[in-house]
Amino acid sequence: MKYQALVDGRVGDHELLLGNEAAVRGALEAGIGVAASYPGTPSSEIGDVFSVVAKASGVYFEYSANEKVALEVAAASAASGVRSFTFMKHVGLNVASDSFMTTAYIGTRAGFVVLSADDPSTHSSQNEQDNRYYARLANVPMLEPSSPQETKDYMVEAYSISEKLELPVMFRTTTRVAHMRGDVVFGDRRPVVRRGVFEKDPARFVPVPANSSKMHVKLLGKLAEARHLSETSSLNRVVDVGVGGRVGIVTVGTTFNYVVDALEELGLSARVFKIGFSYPLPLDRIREFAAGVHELLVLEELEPLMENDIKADFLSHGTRTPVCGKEELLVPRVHELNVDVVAKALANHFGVPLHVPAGGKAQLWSSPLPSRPPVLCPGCPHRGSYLAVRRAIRELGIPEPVFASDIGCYTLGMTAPFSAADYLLSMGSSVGTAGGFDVATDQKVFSFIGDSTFFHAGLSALASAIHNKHRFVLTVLDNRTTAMTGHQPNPSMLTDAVGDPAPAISIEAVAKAMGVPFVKVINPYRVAEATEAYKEAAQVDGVAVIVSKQVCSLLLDRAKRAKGIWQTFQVDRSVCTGCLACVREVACPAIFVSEGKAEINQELCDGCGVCSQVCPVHAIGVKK
Amino acid sequence: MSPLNVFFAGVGGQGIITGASIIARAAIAAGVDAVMSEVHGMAQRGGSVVCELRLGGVHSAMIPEGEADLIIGFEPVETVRSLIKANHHTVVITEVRPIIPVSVSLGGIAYPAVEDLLAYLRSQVAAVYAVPAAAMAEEIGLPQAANVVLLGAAMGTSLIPLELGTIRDTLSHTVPAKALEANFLALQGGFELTRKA
Ligand code: SF4
Ligand code: SF4
Repeated sequence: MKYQALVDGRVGDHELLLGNEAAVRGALEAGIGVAASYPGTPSSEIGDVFSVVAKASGVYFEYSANEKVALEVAAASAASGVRSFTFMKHVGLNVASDSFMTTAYIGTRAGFVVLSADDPSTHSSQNEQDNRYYARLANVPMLEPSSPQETKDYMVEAYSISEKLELPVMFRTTTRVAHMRGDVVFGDRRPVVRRGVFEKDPARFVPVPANSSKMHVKLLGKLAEARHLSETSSLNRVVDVGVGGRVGIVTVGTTFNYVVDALEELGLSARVFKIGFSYPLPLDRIREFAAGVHELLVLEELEPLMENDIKADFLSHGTRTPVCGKEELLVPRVHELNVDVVAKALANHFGVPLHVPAGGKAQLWSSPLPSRPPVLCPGCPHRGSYLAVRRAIRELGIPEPVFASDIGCYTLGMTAPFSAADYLLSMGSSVGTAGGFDVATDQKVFSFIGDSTFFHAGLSALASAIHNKHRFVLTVLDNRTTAMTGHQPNPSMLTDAVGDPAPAISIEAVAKAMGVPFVKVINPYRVAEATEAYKEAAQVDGVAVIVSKQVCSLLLDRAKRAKGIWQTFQVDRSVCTGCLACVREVACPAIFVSEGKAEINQELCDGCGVCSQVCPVHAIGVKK
Repeated sequence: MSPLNVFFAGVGGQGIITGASIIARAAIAAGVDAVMSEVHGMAQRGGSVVCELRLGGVHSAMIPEGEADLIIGFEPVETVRSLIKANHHTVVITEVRPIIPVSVSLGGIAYPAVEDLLAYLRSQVAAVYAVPAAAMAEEIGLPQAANVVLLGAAMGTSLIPLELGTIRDTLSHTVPAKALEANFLALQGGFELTRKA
C-alpha cells in the first residue's frame, strides 16, 4: 500500500513527506477517530492520503458535500469524545464559518482540529485571504508550522491544546508549507478511539439565546487560558542566527525559513523569535524578548496581524523598543514572501549589500517567451460542451450572452476561443449569479457548474432559481469526479472516499424532481447533438439543465491505458486546407500548426475525436 | 555545507515531481538533508510547472534567484524561462523537444527556434547538455520515462553528491516492477550521455 509507513511507522522512523502527508501522520499519532473534508488545493493531498490509509489505520474518513458539512461531522464526533479532524482550503473555511464560529462557543470534549490551508499568491484560488483573521474572529487558538516535521509535531500538540481548553484549535498552513517536502521523524501512535458516547448537556451544546450569551463569557475565559498556554509553549522559541544578535525578529510559518536563510545569506546576526502558537500571541514573552534587543522586526506574509498586536501591546505597556513591520521594512501586504524579498528588505534596512551569486546572475531571454498558462487537457470533455454552446449561440444569433462560471477545471474555458467564463465568485456561485444576470438584464445567461460543485453549493441555489422563476441554461459538467483537486469522489459516484460502494445520486433525477422544466443529458464528444440540445435549452422559459456527461479525460486515459485500448487522431496533410478551424474552435493542446497546416502531437492526443467533427474537409481521422 | 540547488522546470503532466522526489528520496537514504518545493493544483493542467530541490542544510525549500547549481528543463522554452534561477556557473540539462503551447497555435508569440534557445542558454551558463530524453524514452519503449532519462543525465554531470546505485535503489522502490527494467535503461542512457560529454 502507498503510504504504508504513515500507518505502521514507529517512533524514531523517518520518511520524506509532503507537508500535507505529515499532517496525516500527525493526526494518526494523535489517535484521531474521524476525519472529514471537502477537497481544495493546497489541502487536497491530506484527503488523498486518508483515502488510502483511513481503513488500515482504523479511522473513519469521508468527503462531505462541502466544508461546512465536513466541519459539522467532525465537530459532533469530537463532542462525542472522538478526536476529530477537518481540513480545507482557506476559502473552504468561509463556507464552514457559520458552524465554525459556534463550535468556539459550545466547545468540544475530545480534541478537534480545523486545518485551513491558505494560498498566498493565489496559486490555485480566487483570492489570498489571510485566514489568521478567523482565529481572532472566533476566539480560538491557532498553530502555524514552518515545515513538514513541524506540521506532524504540531498536529499532536494541537489535540492536546484542544482538550486542555475544550476548544477547537485552528491549524493554519500555507501552500509553501503544505507542498514542502522534507524528512519527518515519527513519534508514537496513540491508540485510535473510533467511537464515543454523546452525553447530553443542553446548557453546553445548544446555543439558544439564554445559553449563548453565557457561552461567550466562558469563551473569553478560555481564550485567557489559551494565552497562558501560548506564553509557556515550546512552539514559541528563540533561535539565534549568528552570534551576538542585537536585532530581534518575530516571524511565523514559512516566513521563518526565509528569515533564517536570508540572514545567513547576508551574513547578519539576529535573535529570531519563532512563533508556532500564533494566537493568542505570547505577548509577555515578546515584550521580554524585545527588552534585550535594539529593535524588533516583525516579518509575516499577507496581513500585519502579529505586527498590529505587538505594536498595540507595546504602546499599552510603554515598551520603548522600536517595532518595524510592513511599512517600515517595505514588505508587501500582498502575495507570498520568499528569501529574495526578505533578503532585500533586510539588506535595505541594515544597509548591507545583497548577496551576488557566484559568477553573477544569468540574463533573461530578452523578448517575451510564449506564455503557458494552464489549459483544458487534451480530450477534456469540457471542450466539447463549450464548443457546442458557442455554436448554438452563433446559430441562434443570441447577442451578448453572459457566462456565469464556477470553481473547477472548467474555469479554464475563460480564455479564447471559448471565452466561457464572464463572472465568478465562489463554489456554486454560477447558479445564483445566473439568476442575478437574468433579473437585471435582457441578456441570455449560460452558467456552468461541475458535478462536485453542484452538490457542494449548487443544490440550494437551484431550488432558489426554480422557485423565483429565473431563466437561464445551467450546464452541469458531469465528468464523474472532482477533477481539479486530483480526482476525489462526489455524491454522484458509486464509491465513497475510501473506495467502498456508495449510493450515487443522479444529477438529472435531482433536477427533474426539483421541477426543472427542461433536463437533458448530452455526450459532449458528440458535437452536433450537443449543439442541438443547447439550441433547444436556450429557448426554454425557465431554468434549463443540461447534464454534460463524460468522464474526465485523465481518468479515461488511465482506464484506456490499463486496458491497452489507445487511439489517437491524425491530420491527413494532403487533405488539410490549412483553414485552421480545428485550432481556432477546439484549441486542443495536442493540435499545433506546422507549415500552415494542422498537425496533431501523438503523445498528447487522447483520441476524443472532437477536432475531427469540426474539420470542414474531414482531414482528421483515427490514426491507423 | 553550502546547499546544492536543483531547479526543475517543465509542463504539467511531465513527471517533474516524480523525478525530483526520486533524487530527494535517494538523498535522504544516503543521509543527505533534502527539502523540496512542489506545485500542485491548477498549474498541473498543462501549464508551466516548477519543482525546487535543495540538498544540505537550508530552511527554505525555494531557491533564491540566481542560485540554482543545476537546472533540469523538461521543455526548451521552460528551460529558458528558468534562467531567473541561474548564474554564470549554473549547469543546465535540457530536453530538446518542444511542446508548443496553445497560445502559440492561437496566434500568440511565436515559439523560438530550439537552436536559438540552446545557443542562448550556452551564452548564459557554464554548461548546457541538450538531451533528447523524450526520443530516448520512446526508443526504450516507455515514453513516460523521459523524466528518468533526464535524471540519469543529471547524475552524469556528477554535481549531485549521490551514487547512481542509490538512485537505482530508489527507483526500484518507486516504479512498478514491470517498468523497472525500462527505467534502468532510461537512467543509464541519460547518464552515459552527459558523462561522456
Ligand atoms: S480544420 Fe481541417 S482543414 Fe482546417 S486546418 Fe484543421 S485539419 Fe486542416
Ligand atoms: S482527438 Fe483532436 S481534440 Fe481530441 S485530443 Fe486528439 S487532437 Fe485533441
